[in-house]
Amino acid sequence: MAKLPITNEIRRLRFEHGEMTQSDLADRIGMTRQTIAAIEAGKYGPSLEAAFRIAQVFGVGVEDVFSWEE
Amino acid sequence: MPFREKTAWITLVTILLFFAAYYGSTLSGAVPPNSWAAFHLGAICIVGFVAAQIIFYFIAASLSPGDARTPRDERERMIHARSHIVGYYVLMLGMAATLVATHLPFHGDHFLDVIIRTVNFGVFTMLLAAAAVAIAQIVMYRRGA
Repeated sequence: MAKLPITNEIRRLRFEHGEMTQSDLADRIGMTRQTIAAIEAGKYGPSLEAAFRIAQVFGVGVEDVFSWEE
Repeated sequence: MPFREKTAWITLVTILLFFAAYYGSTLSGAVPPNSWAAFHLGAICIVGFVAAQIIFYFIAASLSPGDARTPRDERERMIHARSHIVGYYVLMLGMAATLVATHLPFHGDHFLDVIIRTVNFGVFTMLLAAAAVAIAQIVMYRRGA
């Protein structure tokens, strides 16, 4: 499957927030661990709402988590 | 493996297991399709299929209770929807094939034979569509999206 042109900093942000696990993040935004893994790997582009929820967990703006790369 | 991928595998394996027995027996001629034996075999396969699904779903849910209780998230809903689109096309093509098969002239056919053939084709199409949905889900879960 082709990678999406959206990159993310979730992995780095998780480690900067007390080595938060994918499961912890998933629980906090109401998703499954597999979905977080897919987002992190760039295989799945989250909805705008999910993107904002992820950014909210880390206390940063959505543009600090996701960026567009062509 | 996520719970919902397991359920897709359960659906696929139980379909193959139970209905390969029925269609294998009737198509090979081991059990004549227009006999009571075929009817009984079909009924046993359907009951076995439903029972096996319930048992395996229960086992899968007890192995990962958290996953089973959690409602589908957006990615799982997307996989669910996309896989059913695949199933829909398989069902439509299968039903068209069933209509054609119903009107095919077979030498020595009785009215009952036509009905049995149509029912067999129709059920096979529905099983094929369900298997296509399960395969599409497994592929999408495996690929990550």
